Amino acid sequence: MTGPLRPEFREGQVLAAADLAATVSYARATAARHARLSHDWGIADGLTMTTENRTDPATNARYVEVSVQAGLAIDGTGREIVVPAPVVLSEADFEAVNGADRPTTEPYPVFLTAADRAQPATGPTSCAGSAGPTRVEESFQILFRRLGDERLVADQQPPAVNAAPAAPPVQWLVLLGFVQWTDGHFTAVFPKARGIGRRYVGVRADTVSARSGELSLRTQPAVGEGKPALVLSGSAAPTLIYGLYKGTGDVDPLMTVESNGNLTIAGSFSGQISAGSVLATSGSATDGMVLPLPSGVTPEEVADGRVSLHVYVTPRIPPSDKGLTVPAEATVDDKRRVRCRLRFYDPAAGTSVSEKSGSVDFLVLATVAATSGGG
Amino acid sequence: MSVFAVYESSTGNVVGAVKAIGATAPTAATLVGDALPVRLSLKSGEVAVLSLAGRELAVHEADDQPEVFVKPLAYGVTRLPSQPPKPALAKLAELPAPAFDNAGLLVTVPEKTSQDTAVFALVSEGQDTLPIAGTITKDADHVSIPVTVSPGAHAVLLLVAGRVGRLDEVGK
Repeated sequence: MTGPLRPEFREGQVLAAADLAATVSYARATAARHARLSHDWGIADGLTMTTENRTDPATNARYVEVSVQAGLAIDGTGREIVVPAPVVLSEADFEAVNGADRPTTEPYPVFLTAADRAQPATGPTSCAGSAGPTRVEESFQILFRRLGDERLVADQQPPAVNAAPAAPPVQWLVLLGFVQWTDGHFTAVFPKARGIGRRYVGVRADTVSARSGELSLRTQPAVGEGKPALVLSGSAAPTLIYGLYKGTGDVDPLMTVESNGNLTIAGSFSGQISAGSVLATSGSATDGMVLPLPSGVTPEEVADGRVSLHVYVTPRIPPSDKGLTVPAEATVDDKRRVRCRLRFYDPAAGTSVSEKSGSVDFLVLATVAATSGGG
Repeated sequence: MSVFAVYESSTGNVVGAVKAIGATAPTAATLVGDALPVRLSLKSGEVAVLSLAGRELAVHEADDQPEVFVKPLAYGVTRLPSQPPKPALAKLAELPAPAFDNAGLLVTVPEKTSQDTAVFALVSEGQDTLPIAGTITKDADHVSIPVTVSPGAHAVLLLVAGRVGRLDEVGK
């Protein structure tokens, strides 16, 4: 098996059509291999399905005219599929494929695929040569398929690494979206149905480098206010920032990692408690309440021994104009439930002593033992 | 700092409170577990424990109110007439002690009510807790909630909407 054959020419060589065609084929194959093997196939730009409201003059029924907007896709063979101008979807073509179906609200898949169209010969022709076409338009075709055929997209297999572009091109299905069909007309479009949607081009790269000193990742082609972004900046003070775009186009940081390792976050932090750390909560609680755990500590971590609790309670003695108040009980049980009783004695009111529920001030410390694998 | 007041859902009476720094906002379940034990020392020297089921309870976050840690039963979560239409922690009006009559637990309020008023009570019966509920109907000033208890002293937690909660020893 040979590798790609690069045409070479020498002075005085008689050039045949095959020699010229080889130069084109070599370039096409190189471009296709790059697109196929360095990128993930899919829609590169545009190709959205849009609708225009219409009314059927015969039935007065409302429907939509569906158009595929101009754009570019790269299929799984590495072939570019260019739609140079908007195309209105043909109801007749759809009906030829799915017209016999029972009425349904389920959306049908719409695909784009590559097609070659030979163009008539131009310029002077030779008496000795053939009169075939001298140009081939790398065109496209819009295909309607059966319900559920969107699953076929995932089953498509790319050609071998050194395969030359096929002529005519392989029918590789690029899903554009879905249409709803009601009473002989399109009535709606959907970008996704039954869990399958449009697929976009990707890049296969182990290294992505910026030349401006700043590398941004965002979820949409255009900067949009409120949309997330990840920015790696190599400026004098290198940072990694995650945040949301502001109206000015700047990123409002929610999380920043500085070059010295400092991490700053705008929200709260949760996760495993690192070994040896101590978390605390303090406050007041009435008798019978279960003391809260410090933020980040779960009851499960306490129950299985990953976290140890140290609880300190102090009874709150309410101010009193008369008599004597002393704590009779101030503790917590093994479920962190407060038990606080206060004993009252008022000599002026008699000799009896009464008890009532009270409240405590508390401090709960949660510690993670270094041997418990807390991280 | 906010105070998290635990209250009985049908009457709004506060039965406990917690305030904390460094803890996540609690729920009723995390603050009381399955049930809130309410203890009362009887004259006999025994301590009666009433069990207020966690499903009857809810939590309201309010501005700090130190007094609620001294007398939680004196407060309720209610709508205040001149305040925005959302619950607030308010100090409640006094309520006379209940008594047992021939029909059950007699609950009396100082004046006739202007609307139906929810009543919820827990009555100790030996080691058990008897939960009972009723309504003081509009233009009435009392209700007798049927309950059968043995002769002797019982701990009674009485909660009436808009009134101070009471925890008393009541003789049958």
